[in-house]
Amino acid sequence: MILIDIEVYNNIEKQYETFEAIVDTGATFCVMAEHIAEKMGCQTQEKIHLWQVNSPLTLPKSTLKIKYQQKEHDAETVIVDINKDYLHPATPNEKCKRPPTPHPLASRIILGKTFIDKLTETERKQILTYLA
Amino acid sequence: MGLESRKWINQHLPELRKKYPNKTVLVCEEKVVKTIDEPLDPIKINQIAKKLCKGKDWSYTYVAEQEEEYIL
Repeated sequence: MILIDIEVYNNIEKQYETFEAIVDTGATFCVMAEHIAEKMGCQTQEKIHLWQVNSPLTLPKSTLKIKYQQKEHDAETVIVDINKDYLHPATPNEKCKRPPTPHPLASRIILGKTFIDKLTETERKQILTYLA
Repeated sequence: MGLESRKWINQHLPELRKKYPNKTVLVCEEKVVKTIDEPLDPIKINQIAKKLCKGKDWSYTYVAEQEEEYIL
């Protein structure tokens, strides 16, 4: 897992806030939890129909102002509702064995291709060094 | 922004996971300056960090005891 720090513009406080972010090269969009998006005053746009592993997922989109190394980028982001009761059976007869730790997006965001594509090659290579 | 603190967190994650399992840790100039027993939303963490680490390089992470193996 690659963790970096970025700054996201808070439309309510009119200032940037530091966020821990998971860099996900397999995600098309950035992802933010709904309760955080509400506190940041994110305006949602149209909904988008995405494919997850086994079912479609319909989520509202927003555009976040994200700063990385003093450069500001607009990044399309989907907003997800984190259900606190997410420890559910995978099938009616199967008990979920995942430990009851908080959802990874409770205190972070995911940075997907809509952000990664805005970076320079040097910046992308620098982020990958966090894997070492 | 906390480039150095982030680098320090990423380098010390295995130790942090043992020492502060399931806590949010706030790191300022290569030291853990506060631990919180739950994941906080980043806005609250920024409020705390701006008081404790004013003008200094800082970063945070939530150190889940088990997490990565359950992320797709």
